Amino acid sequence: MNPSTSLPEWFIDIRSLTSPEQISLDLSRHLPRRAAIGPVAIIAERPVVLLSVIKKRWSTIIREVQRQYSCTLHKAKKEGLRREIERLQSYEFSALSKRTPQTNILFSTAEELSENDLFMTIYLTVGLSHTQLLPLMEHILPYGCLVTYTGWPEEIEDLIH
Amino acid sequence: MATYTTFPHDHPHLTKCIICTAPIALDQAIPGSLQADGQQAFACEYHIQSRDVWITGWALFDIEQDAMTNSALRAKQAA
Repeated sequence: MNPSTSLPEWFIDIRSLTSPEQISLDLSRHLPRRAAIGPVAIIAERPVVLLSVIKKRWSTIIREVQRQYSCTLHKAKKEGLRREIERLQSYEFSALSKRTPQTNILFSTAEELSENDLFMTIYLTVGLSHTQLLPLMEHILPYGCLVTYTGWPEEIEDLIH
Repeated sequence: MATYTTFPHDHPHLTKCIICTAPIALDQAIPGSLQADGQQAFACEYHIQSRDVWITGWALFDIEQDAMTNSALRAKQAA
């Protein structure tokens, strides 16, 4: 636990969404908030396929923020949206095989992550057993967040408690 | 839609939504970006369903936090 705030060191966000469309929509809406604070991993069964879907959704989000930017006269809101557009355009998405030092958002399977890979946020879109989840949690930086679309096994809480 | 939880699962901590400022329990909150002091910021889970509210709310929050960080830095430099 973090003694100064009594907030836990990890945040586990369990999303009860099932269809691939809902998951990619939710993920692409939430991702800009988390990408702003540190590296992100998206764990998928077919990372390259999900990468392509999220990239498409990302373009839609950028167009949407640009539309909101053009529609507002509120000075602070306009500045906030301008910076949001800049940020959204600056992120580098990549599958593991094509990652570069500039990659902020990495698409991978759980097994293919390297030992030294650390992320502020991991999005989990595939079901993993608790024995696969525990090593994945080691890739989360302190005060980082795991967003899971595939539930959370009770065995893990038992192990942690 | 979303169920948010932390370790321990039944953590009683209440937080504040950065979009509507309502007090919320963690099991109804979504973690977004960070506050100027590095603490995790949250929004009510249902805001994510409203694209405009979600985008604008966080964009405004981020710019406010950046301004607070910059002003704290300036105060530090002046001292």
